[in-house]
Amino acid sequence: MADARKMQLAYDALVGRFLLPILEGGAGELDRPIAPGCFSFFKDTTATSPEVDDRIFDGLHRAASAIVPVETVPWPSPPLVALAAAAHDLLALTDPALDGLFARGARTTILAWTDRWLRLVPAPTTRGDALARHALLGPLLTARRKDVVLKTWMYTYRFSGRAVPWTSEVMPRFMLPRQEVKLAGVVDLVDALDARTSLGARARLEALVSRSPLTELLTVAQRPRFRFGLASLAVLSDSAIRGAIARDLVSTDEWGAASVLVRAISVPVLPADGRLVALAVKLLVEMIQTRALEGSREDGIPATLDEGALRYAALVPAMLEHPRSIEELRVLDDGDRAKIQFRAERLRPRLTKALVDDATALLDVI
Amino acid sequence: MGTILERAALHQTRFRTPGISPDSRGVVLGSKGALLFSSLDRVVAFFRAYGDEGSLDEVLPTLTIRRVISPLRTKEVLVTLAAESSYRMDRVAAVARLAGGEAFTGTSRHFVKYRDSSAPLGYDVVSLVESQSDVMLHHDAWRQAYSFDSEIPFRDLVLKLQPFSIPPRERTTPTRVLVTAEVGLGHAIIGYLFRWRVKASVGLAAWPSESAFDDQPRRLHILDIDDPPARVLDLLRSLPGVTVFEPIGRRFAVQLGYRHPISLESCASLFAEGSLTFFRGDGNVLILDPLPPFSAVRTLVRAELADTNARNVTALVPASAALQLVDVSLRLAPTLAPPRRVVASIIPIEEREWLSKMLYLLPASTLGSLRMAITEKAIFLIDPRGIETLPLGRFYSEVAERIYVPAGMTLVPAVSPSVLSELVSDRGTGHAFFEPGEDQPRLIEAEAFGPVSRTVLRDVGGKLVHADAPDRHDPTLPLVAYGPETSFPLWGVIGQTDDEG
Repeated sequence: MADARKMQLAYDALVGRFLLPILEGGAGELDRPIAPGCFSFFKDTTATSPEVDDRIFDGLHRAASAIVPVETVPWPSPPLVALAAAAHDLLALTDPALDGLFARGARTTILAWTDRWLRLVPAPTTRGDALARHALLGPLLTARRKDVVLKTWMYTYRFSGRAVPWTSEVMPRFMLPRQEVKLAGVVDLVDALDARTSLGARARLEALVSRSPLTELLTVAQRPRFRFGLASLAVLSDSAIRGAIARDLVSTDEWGAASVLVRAISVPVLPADGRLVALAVKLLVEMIQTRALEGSREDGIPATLDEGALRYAALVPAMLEHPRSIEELRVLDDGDRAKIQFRAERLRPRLTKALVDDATALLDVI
Repeated sequence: MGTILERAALHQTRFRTPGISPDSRGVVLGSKGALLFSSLDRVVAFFRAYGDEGSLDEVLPTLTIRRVISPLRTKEVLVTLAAESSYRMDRVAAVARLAGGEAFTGTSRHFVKYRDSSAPLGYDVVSLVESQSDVMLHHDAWRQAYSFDSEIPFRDLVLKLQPFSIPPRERTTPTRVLVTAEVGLGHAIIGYLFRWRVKASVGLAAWPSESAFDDQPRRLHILDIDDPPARVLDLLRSLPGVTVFEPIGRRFAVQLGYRHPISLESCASLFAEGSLTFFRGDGNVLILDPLPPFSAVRTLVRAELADTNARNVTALVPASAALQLVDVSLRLAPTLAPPRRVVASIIPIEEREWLSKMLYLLPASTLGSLRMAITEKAIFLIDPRGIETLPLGRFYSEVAERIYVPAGMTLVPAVSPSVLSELVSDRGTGHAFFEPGEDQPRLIEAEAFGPVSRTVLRDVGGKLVHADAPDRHDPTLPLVAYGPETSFPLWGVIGQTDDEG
């Protein structure tokens, strides 16, 4: 019974003091690490305060609906709770207090817990689940830690991710206190941890993101080693989500994202099934069409294009010359089609015939 | 005559072109005919013209459509088919030339121009040119080698062509229609057809969803309606989520008001027996294979048990009832007879927001005939053409002039309309509504009814319906903060030993 009470307290801390503030743009508090043994309790419980669950649901639903209109999101649900717990433990690893003499060994244990939490998160099975996971992980990846450095002529005090226990005003003037505030992003924190300890926290962060295929695809430009999995292809099979991804990628980093996506298509595993490749190629085609439809006069072609970007660029003329281009492009307005043609001609001098032929072969699978 | 072809002579038996010979009429003919078109739209024009004149089914078994590429990378379309006879080839060549193509004949790689008015018996080449290409066409003005690019299956071509709209003056009312309806509308339409005694049958079709996230397949009700009344057709065509098709053969149907570019009747063999292909006006194609079982709508109408009637059956009539027969008043009673002239509706005032939204969606013709009276408790609507287009409130049938009872109910004793008008004589020029639970009909003055103008819409809604995007919620970037610092961070952490189950 005592264990149940403690587990409920741990659950309340996870969803009420960590997840909810993160979703609402506040400060999420990383309590003590959460062991995966709690999952059997967490998967069936709810927050003690129903208001917490309601506000989390609202936050997830609002963020999910901003991507694709969705009727509901599955909160609370075991995969989302496990995902939040994995993120919690991964971020807890970055606590500088764990560098202490007696605490140092805890990092290995917490890392193993993170891995076990991640194994408890299966691939999303519904549209709402996929969107909710991104709604949960999206803010987490943008979270920052506030580091305060307080310097006097005698001492330097560092408060990393913890509040300063006193204000600089209480210090005597003759100490000449100076305060500096820095904000460090989650990725930077994890990279810094790896640099200090070689734990492999960055790999865990990538594994965490891979549990949300939508997040993975929307941040693909920052993941040069991205590879398509069945989960990410399942997301792309949904035309509404695929369109939303195309719009987002085009409005952020079209060429960076396209370069990674095209290289991911070339992995030998994927061409085993033409239908799977077709889903990935459809995303690229939608990106090209979205670019033409978004109304921007700025073409935004970078001065230098890497191999992946060149292969994406080759899709533009290949689309126009492909036998099926009549069906695909006739729905476009004349002005929009002219934009694609103009872009194709701007890109053509940089392309070789082999690249265009490869792109045509890719379009054949659609 | 150029240096490429020469005219064939009568009784000529030896030809330089491989695979051609004179037929019984002396016309030079190979086993195949080849038609060259510069673009796909001309190919479509050929099939349109050929299908209108004759049957495409006879050429389909041997028909191939290929994109071909010349050495200068020019892309054209080559259609090949069995020549069979010079009679067939004459017709094929004439239609192909009409559609802007050229006709050739041959057997394997070399094709010479088919006969025309300059050479009634056809042509032969002056000399053969060796080439590694897939096909060589010899015209009297040019010779061209082509390599095959890709094949376009004729069925794919037919399925991808978008039907075009028929001008209104050419439209006719069909004697049978097929209707697809979203599942949410299906039962309402079934009930509607049953009430109006329209002969129809219904099936439920399902297609697998493309998205991995849809937990159920896409489903549609398919209704097969015989002899649909024009007003029913108009109603069905105006409903969002409902599409009306005209069956052309047993295996395919085109959306009402549209026509497929190619004469589908002439190529019925494309569509499998036991399947049904729907061509929508927007170019989408639905294929039902196999056909779902169909059942008459009368078997699917939802039966409702009325508790009050059931009680009446068992309850004994009180002895004093006989004495009360001297005071006979008109009462409402349920009836199984299909409601006639459902022309009025009463909408509770609480539903005025729904009404205001619905008014924005109604077609102009309905808005023009709709009359509305607003009272404190309800909104009264009358449309002499039928109120079903506005699915709100309780429907009322006009049982006598300006006397209304709820749909599905009747007045007892069953007096004639003229007697009823006399009984409700004090209504003047107003409209009388018999409402359930009320002893007396509610009278609404005729002057209270007015057209649904913009002013009325505002009165009803109270506030304008707007479609502005909601305010964008853009939360600030979150922070993470650590909890209290401890020397032994894992001491006392719960769940360390348990299995996660």
